[in-house]
Amino acid sequence: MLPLGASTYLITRRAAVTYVNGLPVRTAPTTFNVVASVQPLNGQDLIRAPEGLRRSDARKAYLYITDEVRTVLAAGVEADLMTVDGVVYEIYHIDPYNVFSPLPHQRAYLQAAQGTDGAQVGP
Amino acid sequence: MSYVPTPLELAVYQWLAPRITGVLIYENQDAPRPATAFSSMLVVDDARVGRPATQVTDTPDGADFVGYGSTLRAVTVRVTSYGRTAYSIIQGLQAQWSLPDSSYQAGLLGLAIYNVTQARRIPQILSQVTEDRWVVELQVYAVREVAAATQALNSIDATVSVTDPS
Repeated sequence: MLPLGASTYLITRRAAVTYVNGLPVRTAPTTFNVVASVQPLNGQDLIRAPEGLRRSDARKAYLYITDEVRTVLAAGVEADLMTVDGVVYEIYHIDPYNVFSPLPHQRAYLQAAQGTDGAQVGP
Repeated sequence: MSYVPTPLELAVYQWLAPRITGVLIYENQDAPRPATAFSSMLVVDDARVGRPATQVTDTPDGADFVGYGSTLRAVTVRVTSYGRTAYSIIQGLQAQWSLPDSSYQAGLLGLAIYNVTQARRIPQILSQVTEDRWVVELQVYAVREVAAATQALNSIDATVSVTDPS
């Protein structure tokens, strides 16, 4: 079953970071496509958003459970990036979503990604 | 955005890294934390002590001088350890900083470590779990030298003008 309004989006998976002489060393990210329905957040979603992330530039995406996107699960790992209409979002939370049964889905929450210099992060 | 440590930070890092159990990183980097036990360092204060000193040296051709300006700095470096082993990491640093070999190694890097503050516990809530953190401050004297070529005067041309006031 395809989620309503689903489309194909690019996921960028950043490789685990290792540290050499106190500085992070990154290797090239990998990319893949997922089918998702991207929607705006509602009020409850905004309340649940981590403090400091309650900005308007956020989305949620319904995906198949088989599309293994990830948020920060362990040290040394960065969350996946999802490109929606040219804007790069970072996945800050994922939970299972089974309303679309019989196929289980997952719901990913996205936040516009920004670097420490305030510029938006690219893949 | 990559973090670019200053020469002073590099020197302190070289001294600290072998004395820290686990990974030592610079603070304020746009990157995820290391996967293993780690500590971070940050130069939180870099103050000049006294007046700058200059040194003038003859160069081989006998005409030019090179002026060296050196400034004694009192530098404070904050070292924070994270996780269950944080306290033992900080204790290990405190046990080592004043050993003769440590002081000698610091001297080779142009540093003189004169104090390490008492360890303080600053636990933080991380993903709904309290993470243990311990912090000390390392107080270091360092000399910053600046060399700039300066042109000495070979001769002085002066026009004498004498006015009779009477």
